[in-house]
Amino acid sequence: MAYESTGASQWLVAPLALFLAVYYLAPLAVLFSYSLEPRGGGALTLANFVSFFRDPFLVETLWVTIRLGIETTLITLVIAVPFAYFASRSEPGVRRILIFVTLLPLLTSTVVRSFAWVVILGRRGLVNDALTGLGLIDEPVRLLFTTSSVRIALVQVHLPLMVLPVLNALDRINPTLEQAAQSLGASPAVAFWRIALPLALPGIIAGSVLNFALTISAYVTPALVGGGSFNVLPILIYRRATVSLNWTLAATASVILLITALAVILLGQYAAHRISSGRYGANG
Amino acid sequence: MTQLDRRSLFKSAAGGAALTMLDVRGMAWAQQRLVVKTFTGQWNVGARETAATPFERSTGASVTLVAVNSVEAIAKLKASAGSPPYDVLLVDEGPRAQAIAQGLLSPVPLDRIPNARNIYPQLRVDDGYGPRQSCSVMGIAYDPKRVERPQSWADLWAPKYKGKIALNPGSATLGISFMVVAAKLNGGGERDIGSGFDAIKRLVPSVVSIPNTPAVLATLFERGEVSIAPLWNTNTLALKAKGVSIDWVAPKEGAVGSYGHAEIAKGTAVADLAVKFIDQVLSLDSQSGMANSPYFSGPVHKDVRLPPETAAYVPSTEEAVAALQRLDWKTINENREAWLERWDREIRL
Repeated sequence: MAYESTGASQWLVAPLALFLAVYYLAPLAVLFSYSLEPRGGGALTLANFVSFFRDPFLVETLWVTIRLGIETTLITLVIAVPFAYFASRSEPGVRRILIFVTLLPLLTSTVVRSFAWVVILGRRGLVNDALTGLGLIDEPVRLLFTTSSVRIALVQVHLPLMVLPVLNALDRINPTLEQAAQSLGASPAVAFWRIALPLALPGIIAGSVLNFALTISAYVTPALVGGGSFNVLPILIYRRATVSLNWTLAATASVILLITALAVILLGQYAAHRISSGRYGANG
Repeated sequence: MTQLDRRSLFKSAAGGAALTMLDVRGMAWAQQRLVVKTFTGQWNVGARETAATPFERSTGASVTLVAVNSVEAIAKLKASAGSPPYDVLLVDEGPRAQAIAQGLLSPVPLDRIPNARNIYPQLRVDDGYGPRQSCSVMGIAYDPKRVERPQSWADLWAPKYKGKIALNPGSATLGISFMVVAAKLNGGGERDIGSGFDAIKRLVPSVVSIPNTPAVLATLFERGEVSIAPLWNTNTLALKAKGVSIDWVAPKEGAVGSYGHAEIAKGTAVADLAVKFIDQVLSLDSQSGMANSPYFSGPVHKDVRLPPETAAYVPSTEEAVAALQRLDWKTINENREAWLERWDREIRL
């Protein structure tokens, strides 16, 4: 039930509107203008985007970034969904602990976290010590400053952002549905796979889309855990913007990243909408 | 629940914009305030102790110190040209040259800075901009418990250090300086960097990691992941003071002296105060304070004298200053973007 706003109460949105206009829309407009003008000023043109896609190194960097996003999202999904299912079906005390454990990485600073990764993944770190101690390897393996280490670190940081939406979606499912399925002879696994999972799909899609968008724009974790020769688009943008002062290229790359993230988000929203409206009809 | 539509949003934003017309900066009741960009880490603490506090006492102004890396600070100056976020900047010479080229700095009247007369003659600047005020020396940091003490830059390519080396990224002053040194070792230099790239590519198989920040490098040394790396004397000594097994040596071809300048941002509202602050930074007390433990910042004031154990690491005499290699940052800056592009593409671990 919505009713029209009266004249005076419209002004309540003034602070938010101003904040958005100044700190969000205006900088975005500046960003777009840098990407649409040739370096040094001039008429609007798409030439910067054309030259971006003509450069194999830049295209490769974009691809590495997107691929990292897809891989990290899939891994996070595989870990988060069973974990969230378990949490949703647990007692409140256990559930609270589980949620706290996933949120823990977000409560520590990135510097502390990357130090911890050095301790765990370094040549003289816990994993290598364990592997050599067990006799599985002779020489320490290089685990740190690789794509794998970045993937692991990103999964750790983004896990709560996948667990929480999925948990939320699973919570909304009526538990009697699964109980009914089991009373008709389905095993708990089948009940999960054929009842809970499909119903939670919109939440899963929301979490995945969020994860992907955050991963492709991640800077700090890849920079600290990937080392100086690991190149994803956000790192390239940072370097071009602050070291080379090549704002044109930095803006162009940023716009491309933005459009990629937006496309995925819109796609995800559309898919989630189709799934939920298909199931419940237009009154969902 | 009110209905939000485009029209009310625009009306609100326009109304709110009127509020921002109030400019509070010029109000006379505000105490004079100086914002100084300092180097990060210990040097920020040092700047507070040796320069900001005595300055506040003697002038009554309030000094805000902001620790930011030089490259980012210049980017910030560029982003808000005309209304600089800092009044005084203590910056590395590389970014300083970039800032001058982009018109972001204001000329510094050395004749109004009495302490400028005490700078070593060969370190004086005459381009009209800010004076040198500190020196960081890039040499070789190594773990004496794990590897032999290196004698020269060329030693890094020796087999005994294979698998123990860390390098700095090509986007950092350390990384670029090392590459120029590598070029000079192989017949090249700032104007012919090809041999530098080749030398580093030859070194890559021996390199464990190229950490993005000195903080991560410190962690690697501490954990024994890495045992030798080009590094500033200041960072190394700070780690040593914390008990990390690390030492520093000035290679025989010459350690690289990198100078910090004191600059004034263009468009600052407190230019006179800024000039006075630079004079404070160049005073014998401030220079001595920064040269000693725990800051180890190479002084430019010729009368600073250091105890022998510090003097081994910090150049404070005529001869020590003369022995340093100095790089041509003007040429480096002209090529910096191209070199960074090339580094990103060619240097892969």
